[in-house]
Amino acid sequence: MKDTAEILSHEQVSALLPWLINGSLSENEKDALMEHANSCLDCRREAKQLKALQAALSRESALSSVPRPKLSRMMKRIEEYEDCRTFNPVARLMDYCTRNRRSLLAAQGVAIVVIVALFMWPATNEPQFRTLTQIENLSSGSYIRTVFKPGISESDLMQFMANYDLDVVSGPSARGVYTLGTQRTLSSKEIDKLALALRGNPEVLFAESLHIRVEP
Amino acid sequence: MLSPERSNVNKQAQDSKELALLANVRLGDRNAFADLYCLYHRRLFAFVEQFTHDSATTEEVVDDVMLVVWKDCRKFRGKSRLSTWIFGIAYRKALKAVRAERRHQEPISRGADLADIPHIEDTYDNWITIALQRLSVEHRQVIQLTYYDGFSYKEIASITGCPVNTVKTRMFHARRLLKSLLQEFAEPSGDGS
Repeated sequence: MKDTAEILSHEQVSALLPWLINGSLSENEKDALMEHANSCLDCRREAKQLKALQAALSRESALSSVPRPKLSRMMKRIEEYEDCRTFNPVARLMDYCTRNRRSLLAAQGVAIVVIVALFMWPATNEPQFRTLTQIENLSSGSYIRTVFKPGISESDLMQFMANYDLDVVSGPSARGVYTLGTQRTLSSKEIDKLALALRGNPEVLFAESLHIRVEP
Repeated sequence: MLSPERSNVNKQAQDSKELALLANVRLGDRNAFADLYCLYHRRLFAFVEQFTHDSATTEEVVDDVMLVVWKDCRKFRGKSRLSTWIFGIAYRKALKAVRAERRHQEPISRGADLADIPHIEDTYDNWITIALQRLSVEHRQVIQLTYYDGFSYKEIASITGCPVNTVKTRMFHARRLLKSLLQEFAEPSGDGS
């Protein structure tokens, strides 16, 4: 851990503000942020807005209807699990294995064999792979799935969005895929043309249009 | 609202309490487990429901998560906070449940107007509620884990299995979207924009 606070750029400070507000930054990070914020009105203003957001979210959370915990049902499941473990010789054997290192390694070896066997199992109706155009929680409309060159800065990304009049609807996913949309009313063909135009941009590694029609 | 320092002290006290409960759970103490279950139920429910959008499925997933905590309590090594470990289990269980059910609950469409939603008072708090519903699951998650559950960005990366920069980027876009939605709600209707 460094003794002196490192100097952070405005972008880096802005990115960390939510975690300053929720109190989870390290001392060094806090010091570095305050070092910048003391001379940056934009960051202080943003921090104030985020505090208001946090307060509103706390109130929203307090009012949201979460059912009471069904403790008896949970304890019944624990009981069933324990009964199964007690009377099931296989479960007892597995329990023994987890308490012994050498046996644990042997169990891990078996698990690896099972996983390999599962991969070699005949294909079912489930897709064996995820494509970038797989629908996930998107409403009807046309979108463009995009992957940018690694290392693109947030300001360059925002400029890119502004140039093409696009918004980030979702992402980045774990694989770095963004789902982009637009407020403009564009036909499917126009979205396809736009995706083609994005592919010509040096900052873009991948762009593919996605059209979703959800049945009512 | 608590200052960050006081919030940290409370967090540490809470963490100690939970670790003490877990120590007893490891000895097979069901009362300690019941206390831990009640401590986590609300937070886990709110987190998992973002994925499933269905109370019954959410309850089932939450119970599945806590059953894993009971079964695997000895596997927790203390390298992270207990809450980070439990939420990581919840994240994976919730994703699995959604894939298994193949349920795609449609969020409120981007074109929906405040006027379409009945009995909503025109207040900042209600706008926040509606704006959150319009975010994607990834964006809502990062907001929830930061503001509701108080996790650091590193803990969120651990829970969701993503790099730290991905967490920061999702938060960046979530904030932008929330800001633009709140501005949209705040503009008087019929101004032709």
